[in-house]
Amino acid sequence: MSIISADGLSRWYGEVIGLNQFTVDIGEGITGIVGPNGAGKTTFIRIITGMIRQSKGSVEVLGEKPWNNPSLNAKVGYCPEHEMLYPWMNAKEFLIAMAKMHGYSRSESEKRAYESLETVGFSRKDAERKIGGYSKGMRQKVKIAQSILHEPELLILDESLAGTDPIGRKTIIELIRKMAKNGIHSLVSSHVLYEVEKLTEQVVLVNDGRTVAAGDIHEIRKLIDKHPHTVNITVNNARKLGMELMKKESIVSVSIIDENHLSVKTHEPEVFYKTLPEIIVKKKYEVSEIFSPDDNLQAIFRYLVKK
Amino acid sequence: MGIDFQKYRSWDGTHSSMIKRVAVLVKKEAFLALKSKWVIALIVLTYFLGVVTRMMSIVFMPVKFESSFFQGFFDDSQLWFILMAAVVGSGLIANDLRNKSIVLYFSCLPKSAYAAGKFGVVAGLLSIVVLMPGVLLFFMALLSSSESLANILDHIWILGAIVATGLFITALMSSVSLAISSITSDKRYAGAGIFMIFLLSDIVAGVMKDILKNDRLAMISIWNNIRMVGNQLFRMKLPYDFPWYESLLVLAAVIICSAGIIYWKIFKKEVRV
Amino acid sequence: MKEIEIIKFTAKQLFFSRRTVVLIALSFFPIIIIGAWMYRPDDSPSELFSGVFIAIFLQFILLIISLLYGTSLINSEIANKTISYLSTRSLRREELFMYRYTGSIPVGFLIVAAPIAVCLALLDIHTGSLDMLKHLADYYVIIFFGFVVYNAFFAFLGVAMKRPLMVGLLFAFFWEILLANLPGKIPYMTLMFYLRSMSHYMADTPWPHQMEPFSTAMSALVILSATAIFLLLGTLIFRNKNLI
Repeated sequence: MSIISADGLSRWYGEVIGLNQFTVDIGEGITGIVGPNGAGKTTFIRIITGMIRQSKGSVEVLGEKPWNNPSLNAKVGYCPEHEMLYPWMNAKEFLIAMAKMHGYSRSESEKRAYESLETVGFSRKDAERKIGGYSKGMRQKVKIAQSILHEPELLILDESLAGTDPIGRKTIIELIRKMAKNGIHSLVSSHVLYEVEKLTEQVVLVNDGRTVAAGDIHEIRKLIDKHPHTVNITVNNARKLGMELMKKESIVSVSIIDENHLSVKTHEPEVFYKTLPEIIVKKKYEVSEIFSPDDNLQAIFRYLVKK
Repeated sequence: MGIDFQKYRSWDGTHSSMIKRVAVLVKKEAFLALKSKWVIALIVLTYFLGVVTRMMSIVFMPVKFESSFFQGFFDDSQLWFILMAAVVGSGLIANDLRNKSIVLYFSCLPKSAYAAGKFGVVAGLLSIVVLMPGVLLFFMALLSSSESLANILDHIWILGAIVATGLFITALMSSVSLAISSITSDKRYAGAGIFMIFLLSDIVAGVMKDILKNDRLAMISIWNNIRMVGNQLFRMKLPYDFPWYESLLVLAAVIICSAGIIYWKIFKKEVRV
Repeated sequence: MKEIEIIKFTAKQLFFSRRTVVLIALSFFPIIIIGAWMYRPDDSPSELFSGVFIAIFLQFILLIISLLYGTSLINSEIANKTISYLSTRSLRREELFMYRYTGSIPVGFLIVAAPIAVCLALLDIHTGSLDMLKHLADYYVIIFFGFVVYNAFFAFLGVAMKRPLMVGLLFAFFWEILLANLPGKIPYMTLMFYLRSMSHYMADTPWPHQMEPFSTAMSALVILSATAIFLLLGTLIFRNKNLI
């Protein structure tokens, strides 16, 4: 069953294209939407939460159109990317107000507010403090709490893992998994593939406003692993180091740029990064720089897009 | 030897002078402001209503080359000056506070240079509508005047009065608008605040003067004081019955208070972002 | 339930903001003028308060409060990005706009109501009668109508424009005050004309125009019609507005 269905969705901001013929079918359970900054993830999320309208194409969320649809809003929980809240309120007041705006009574709103705060691991004492004094992590928890207040069918989290500490991240991941077990679908957006990997096997990769790949993460991983990983090294004797590296099985190719620079392609970056320091120390090379132009999602997407 | 650890290396070059760095700030902000259609509209309106209409009156109804003709420009354009100060000055510091970019400025400029740069922006843009039209009007009136050269030379001091009044108004409005901008991180409220300060002081002065029948209460209005000093510079009859230097002191106090607010908000307190 | 909550939320949000402190201070300024009059009471109390009511409460304080509150109802939420919390509640956008507008009226009214009462009370204490306070309800009705119509206009401006404050200032002080004092038929096109008409008949304030003022009922009708138009326009615009 399709939870979110987009067909030829396009959205432009003046001359800038946010989404370009974006087509995707998101199913039940947890789905990750992954892409570099500016890929169109937030634009897509804004459209499915009814904050903006698409310029072209169609979209349905839980079988309904998202624009100006209060009945759909009752079924969808949205945790935005930004950390803006109402600094003059405390978390408890904010959550009670949000619950009441969904139509719950005072007592029910209070009950839901406290439950949500407990679910996200927010103490009652902190809930009495003004939001203006909260740290980034606390704000993140409050945002998530307001999105689960009304027990939505679908939870949309826009970059909720960004900027959180490891414990906070773990809490959020566990929460999403727990909610999935209770039948709540989630769409989690991130620009870090490895984070989303911990949550789900279903991902949608987005780049330049389009879907690049969608489906099982392991299949996508295999595609990525086939793509050789490039590492550039600045060393006192590039030719000699290059010859040493060519002997290793994990190396695909070595290019000597000049006497101090070489570029290495490898199928197994983990093995390579383990072997390289051993060679350097043993042969006493003077290495002044090691960097990988591939060590980012952009490179992976470039590769996938070419495919 | 294994991996060569890269130690921090400071840059050996020569840093440009503080004036050049501040000039970068002023140029960037000024050009940004000039991209705003509101700023362009205000400039056009001021020139059209202040200069063009006056020039047409010279062409169709020859007027005597005298100070009241030029002083009238400043009086009649009061609203545009205030709007310009509000539009240009309101966001100068408020936006930096809102966007949390003020710390970026302080990482490379001392606070005094930052304040001076911001002042330069608003003063520069304000002088386009306050000072330049007055000077332009003088030279245009000079060229089209049918009066004798001797008579015109007798009135050459008017140019000095125009420049002095223009600079004074520019300095006052720039410092007030910067002070208001530094109080809030919302440019909209800063703009409303700048507008209100001039307007409210006018209203209160008018009402109080009427009730208590005391001319001195006109000093409550910032613009009344500007009018007093301006009339004195233009050697015209003073509109109120108290010495002009008292108005000058009031205006000086306003500038000092504004400077004090900027000092307190930017220099003295922690800049909370 | 959710309607009441939005109204309450909006009222609290507006009331507990820093600008409210400034506006309250501003609203109490006329008391200084009344105090100055008590020191030298040349005019009669009713003449004095009429002047203060029109020049300061109606043509300045009410306009400023409406401008600042009305334009920020939706515009501030979008600028601060908090609109995402309100727009994703179980509410139609039209409802959100209307309830936000409704929540703004009592806050403005309360800010102005207290100083008006204090001014009238001071005048009555000075004269030893209740001549001024008996008109309190009349002044409140006029101020209430003022907030109803101007909040509606500025709320509409707030959704129609990205930067409504400057246009709002020009409307308030150029259109509503300067233009309203011009001769001829131009004042009919200002909302202030109808408020002043009401004020003239209800509170006996001076009438500055050559043409006759409209009756209280007619003025109220015009004001409410204008309010309905502004609210309809605002609702239509907000219904189709992209919230970023």
